[in-house]
Amino acid sequence: MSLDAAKNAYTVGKSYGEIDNDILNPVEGFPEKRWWTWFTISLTGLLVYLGVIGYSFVKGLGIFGINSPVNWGVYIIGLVFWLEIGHAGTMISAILYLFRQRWRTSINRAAEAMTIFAVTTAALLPLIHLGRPWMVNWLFPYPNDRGPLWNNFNSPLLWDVYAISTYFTVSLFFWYMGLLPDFAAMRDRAVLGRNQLKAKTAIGEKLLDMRVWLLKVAALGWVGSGKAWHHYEKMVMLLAALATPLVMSVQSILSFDFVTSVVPGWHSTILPINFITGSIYSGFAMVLSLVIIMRSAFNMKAYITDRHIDNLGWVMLFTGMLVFFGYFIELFMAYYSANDFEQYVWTYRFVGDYAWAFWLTMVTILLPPHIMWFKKLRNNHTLLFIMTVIINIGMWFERFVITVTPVARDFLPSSWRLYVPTVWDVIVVLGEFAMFFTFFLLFVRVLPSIAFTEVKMDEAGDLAKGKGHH
Amino acid sequence: MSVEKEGIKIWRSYEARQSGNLPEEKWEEGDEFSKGVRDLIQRGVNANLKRKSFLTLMGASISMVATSCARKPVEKIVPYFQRPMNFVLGNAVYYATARVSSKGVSPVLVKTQEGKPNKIEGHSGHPVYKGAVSADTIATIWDLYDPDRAKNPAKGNAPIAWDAAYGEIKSALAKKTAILTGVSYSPSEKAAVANFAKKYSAATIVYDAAGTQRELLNGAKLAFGKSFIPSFRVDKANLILSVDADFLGSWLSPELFTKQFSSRRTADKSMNRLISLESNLTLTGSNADTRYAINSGSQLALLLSLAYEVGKNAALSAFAAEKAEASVGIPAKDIKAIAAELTKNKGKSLVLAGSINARSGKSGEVAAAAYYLNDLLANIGLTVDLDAPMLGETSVSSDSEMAAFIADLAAGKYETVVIDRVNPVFEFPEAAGFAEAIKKAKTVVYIGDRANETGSLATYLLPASHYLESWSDGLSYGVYSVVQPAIRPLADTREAAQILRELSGETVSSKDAVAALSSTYAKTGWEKLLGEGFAASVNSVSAKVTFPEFSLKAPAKAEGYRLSLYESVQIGDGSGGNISFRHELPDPVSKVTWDNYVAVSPADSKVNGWKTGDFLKLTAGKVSVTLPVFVQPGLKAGNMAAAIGYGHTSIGKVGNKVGKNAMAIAGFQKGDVVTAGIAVAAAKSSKEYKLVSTQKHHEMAIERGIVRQATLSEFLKNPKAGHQHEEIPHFGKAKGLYKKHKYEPHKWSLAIDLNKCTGCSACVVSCYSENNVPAVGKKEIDVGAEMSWLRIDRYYGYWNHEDEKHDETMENPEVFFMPVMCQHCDNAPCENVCPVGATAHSDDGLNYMTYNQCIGTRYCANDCPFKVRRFNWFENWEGKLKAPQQFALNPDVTVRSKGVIEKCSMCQQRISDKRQQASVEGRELKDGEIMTACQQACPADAITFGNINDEQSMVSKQAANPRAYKLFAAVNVESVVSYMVRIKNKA
Repeated sequence: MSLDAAKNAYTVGKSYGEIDNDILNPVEGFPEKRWWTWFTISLTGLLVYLGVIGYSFVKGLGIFGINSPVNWGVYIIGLVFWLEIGHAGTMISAILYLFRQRWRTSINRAAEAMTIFAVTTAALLPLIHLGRPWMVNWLFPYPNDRGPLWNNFNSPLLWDVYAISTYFTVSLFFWYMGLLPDFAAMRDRAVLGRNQLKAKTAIGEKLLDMRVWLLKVAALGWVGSGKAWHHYEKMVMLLAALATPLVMSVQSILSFDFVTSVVPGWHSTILPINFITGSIYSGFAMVLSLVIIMRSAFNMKAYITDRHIDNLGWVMLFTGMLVFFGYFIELFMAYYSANDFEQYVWTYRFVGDYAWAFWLTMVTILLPPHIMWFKKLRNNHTLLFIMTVIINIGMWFERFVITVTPVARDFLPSSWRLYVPTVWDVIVVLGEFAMFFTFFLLFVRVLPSIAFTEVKMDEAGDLAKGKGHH
Repeated sequence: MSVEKEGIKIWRSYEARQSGNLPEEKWEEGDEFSKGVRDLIQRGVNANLKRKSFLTLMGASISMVATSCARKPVEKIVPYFQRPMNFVLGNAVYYATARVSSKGVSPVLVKTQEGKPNKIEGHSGHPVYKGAVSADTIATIWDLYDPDRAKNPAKGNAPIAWDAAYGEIKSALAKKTAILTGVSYSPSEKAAVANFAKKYSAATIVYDAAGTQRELLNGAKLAFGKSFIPSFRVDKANLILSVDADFLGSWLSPELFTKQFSSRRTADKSMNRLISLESNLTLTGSNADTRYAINSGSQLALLLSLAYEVGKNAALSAFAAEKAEASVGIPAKDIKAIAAELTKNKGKSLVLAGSINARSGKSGEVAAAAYYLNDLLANIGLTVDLDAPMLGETSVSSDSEMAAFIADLAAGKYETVVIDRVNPVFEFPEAAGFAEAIKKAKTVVYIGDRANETGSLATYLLPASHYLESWSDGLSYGVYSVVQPAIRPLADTREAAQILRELSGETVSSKDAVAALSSTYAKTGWEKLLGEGFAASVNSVSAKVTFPEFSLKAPAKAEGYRLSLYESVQIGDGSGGNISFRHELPDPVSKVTWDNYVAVSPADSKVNGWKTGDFLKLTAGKVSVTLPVFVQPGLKAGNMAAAIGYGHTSIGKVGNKVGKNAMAIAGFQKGDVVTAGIAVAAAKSSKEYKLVSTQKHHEMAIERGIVRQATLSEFLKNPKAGHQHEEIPHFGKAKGLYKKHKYEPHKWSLAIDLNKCTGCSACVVSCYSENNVPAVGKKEIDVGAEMSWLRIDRYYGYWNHEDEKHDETMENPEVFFMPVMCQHCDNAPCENVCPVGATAHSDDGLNYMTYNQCIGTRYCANDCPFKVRRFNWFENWEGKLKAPQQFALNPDVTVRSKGVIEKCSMCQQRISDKRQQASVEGRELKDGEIMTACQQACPADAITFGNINDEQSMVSKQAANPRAYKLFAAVNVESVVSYMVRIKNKA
């Protein structure tokens, strides 16, 4: 009985045509004022961000608050933050797919999109934080005329290059594969509906034609034959299986940026695990924020049900406790190591100059998910939304604490110095968000934000099962 | 002055430039096109324009339009057709010369390449200095290329020809004239001044800006009856007592004293002992075995008290230890103990006193008391040497002469005043009223290197050459040095003495004048003198100490706030204040850069709530100065200190408005400048100020085993003393995954003896100069963007918690200095994290940095436990230099662009140079042949460089010393730089 109830909780119960209409409504219609407002804000932010990057190229990285000894600031914090957010997308679309979790269907598209945009936002950061970003091609091992100069394969920064580019490529393909049947459906709708649309100008007509043409190209000639579905299922399965370990490896390699150093507080074997749990945690928080907004903005409550939100919430609680456990172990190991430097890192975090950031992190990432224990609170989606935003702010500061505190006070007291972000640093952080949201806002208007083919398949399955019962 | 209007000067070749000929071509405003094109135009204009010539003209016009922007002058690099003997382009040529300044005669070697000096080094062949050189002297290379120097004679603001200026000045000199000059160590300059004074019957006023020399000269006059400065043989003394004489930092010739002092800082029974009693925390106090903080202005009472305790002279009974203790601020028993220790070391002790920061009453009395005390201790003739004095008998204006001169000047009695390279408007306290008085003179002739505060008031500015462009001489410590030019004057300047000679109507050239005079002092002959730069000479003084009358009859009570003024190591009297590197060099003790400040004691800070960065308005009499506060451990409650030499208004683009002129607040009593124990009222201002320092933390250095110290007696019992915080990873049996690299035949290494290092910072400046390290300015240092490859970390600490508890107000902390450069780790953490392999290990054990390959990820800098990697946060060179500053760059070292990491290379270029030389000569490299710039500059001989593979090399022996340790051995980076435990000779 309970099993039935669980299954039915995700059932939309609409006809396929209605589902198509519901989900493609934002894509096929013209954006309303609210969208334009947010898009304008985001785009402006993105342009300002690009301007600051250009300015730092010309003037030098000295405009930021980074210094000696804190050589890495918001750029690397941003890299870790966004990459971690990205992982939740893969987690939902690939891992939950492998585990045949039905509830991923409605949210996987948005989660994957989030992955792509987060990784894009993240991947830009290490490149522009170079002292000589115009030499960025030197990071890639390709036959060159620079004499015997070649990459240093010992460097975790080089591993990053491979890890991130691999991850980005796999995620992109995975996403695109999932989109294929949807593209085909959109194409069919566009081809059939083309005659009913009439633009006021000749250019408008051309644009409408171009849309049809683009969808034709994007659908790659998908016909929905049994053979195509067969290949499709296999491919998705393969990519899911490929993407799953990447979550682990990318996050571990990212943590190696810190771990392979000798700096106390960075040189810690627990960091890879902490990065993975942290990534799932912050990523799910971001998914939850986005899904709550999307579902209210586009009226998709039938597809993204309360049950979906609830599931995501429980994942948050679980990973939140994992993160806490990771912290506890790290602290315990520092104590147990009897290493003065390791212990000092924690003392400094507890009571030092950045204690405010540390305690802010502790409060904002460890406490909020515990509202899940209370039915009234967890059913309040506004509260859940606030919780996710708080968690993500906390996770940003967690990256800040990890990146900054160990180097601000490492071995030689003579060289200790604080990292005080300048106005440029703040613009970069805001710019990262602007970039992400610009992409995301474009996504919800250009592509179906729910994988409606999959929804329909699930519906069909429900229907079949329902028949079987009766 | 009008160089811009003359256009850009162009020489066809290097030789032409060297020969000093006029430019062969001048680009002027009209000269937009080359001569051929000009002729063409002219032809067109002259001709009757036929069709063909019109077309010719048109074609020419079009080609001119197309090419007219190419104004870049043609430059040709032409090899020598006939090469001068022993001259190879690119090879450095060294000249022996000397810098004559208020710090005596500093013998130097000038490194010139392609005819341009680019580095000042110590003259290791000198019998007294033995290569000692100070940070300030090394920095004079930038004085030479200072773009703000005066470039031609000027009348008011208009340029004037030398002869025209001389003509006008000579007629002015016929009227009542005075000449103002500094204390001089140069016989030829003294002769020039004397001749000048004689010719024009001019009153000669000799004064000393910073005041230390005047103190000692007047003190000798009181004690010996002759005014001279003896030679203080720091190397001969077993016990040195310094009473506010910062002889390791700024007192007299600090580089020489550092050399002599460190020669006895050996960790064995022959080690000397230094007691420092001082009102401010100086380098000397920081290096003292025993230090007491005393009250500013009580130095005379303290010395007399010590004299009484040593000699029991009844005339001094008012100064018995019990009566003096309250005034001085040291318990009577400690005064007695010091006196007893001095007595024990009779003939082998040395009392040093008499400096700007002890000048509280009648000029010279503090120094006289020290001479008297030295006499009581039978040190005269032994550690106070009169045979080869620092400065032989020299007249210096007495206080009454000084007061009378300023009064006469104010009364308009002098119509013409000639000022020779001193800057009285800036250097005199406001109370002296000099700045107003000088305005009464009709004609003021200023001889100096720039239109500084005095120069800008002058009627005529006659530009003086830099010493590297000059012929002159110096006589000090029984050695006659010749000052010879290493380059022709860069602008239309002449030697100051030559200007005086020419004004006196002498026609002899400056070279001939010096050559003629040199035969009186040096018997070696002119050629040899030029080659070596010096010759033994005689300037001995014979005199005996008689008990002088002291104006102070009883110890004065220490009340209120007392300010003392001092000379900082980096800026000194301020005459070199337009050099960014001097300002960039952190104060050795406070580590503050680009500012002066009022140092207040932690106790006062606590009571009054003053904190670093507050503004404090200090008022003495009618004058007040507002200075930022710096809470300085090592000061007694009620005492304050501020550095002079800052707050220029007219020294140049760099130095103007850096800090405040603290000298303004000094007292002026009957011709005596009072710079110690100035009673001030202090009021906190509501405004705040940003004081910028390169080091913000000093805690935990001992707990982490960074700096190590042991007493001599401990060390003699246990050679491993001081290493209690040593952590060796895996008990020294750590095994890496990789096979260890073999470094054959050389593996370079450095050893730094912290027992010898005084923190004087000569190495830091030398490194700046050798390796083209940029100065970045206050704003960038504030955000942690300083570029120094070699820095000196300073830590405060206590022997134990007992001591720490005992000294809650940090009146007397232990001060540690630690030079830190790249440690060239064998297990370098920076190397494996660079994604592009821009930093790696060389075959001779160096961690090298390939600037071209660096893309600036800065991971290496994060990962460096020593934080010695510097990132170019901004562009530091391109477009930042103003001609002729670029000549100061070392052509053997590249400059680094924006966005790359740089760091100490252990002077790779010097290693290569010597290695190639040895290879050409077909021999092995000798130990000690290669010297890094820091090692060469170190007056304390604290740094040793060499091949650690060779067991016989100095550096191997140092590294094997039981005192040697590696910084953070626990991190297992296997650094190659060894540090050696500091030993304190506690009684």
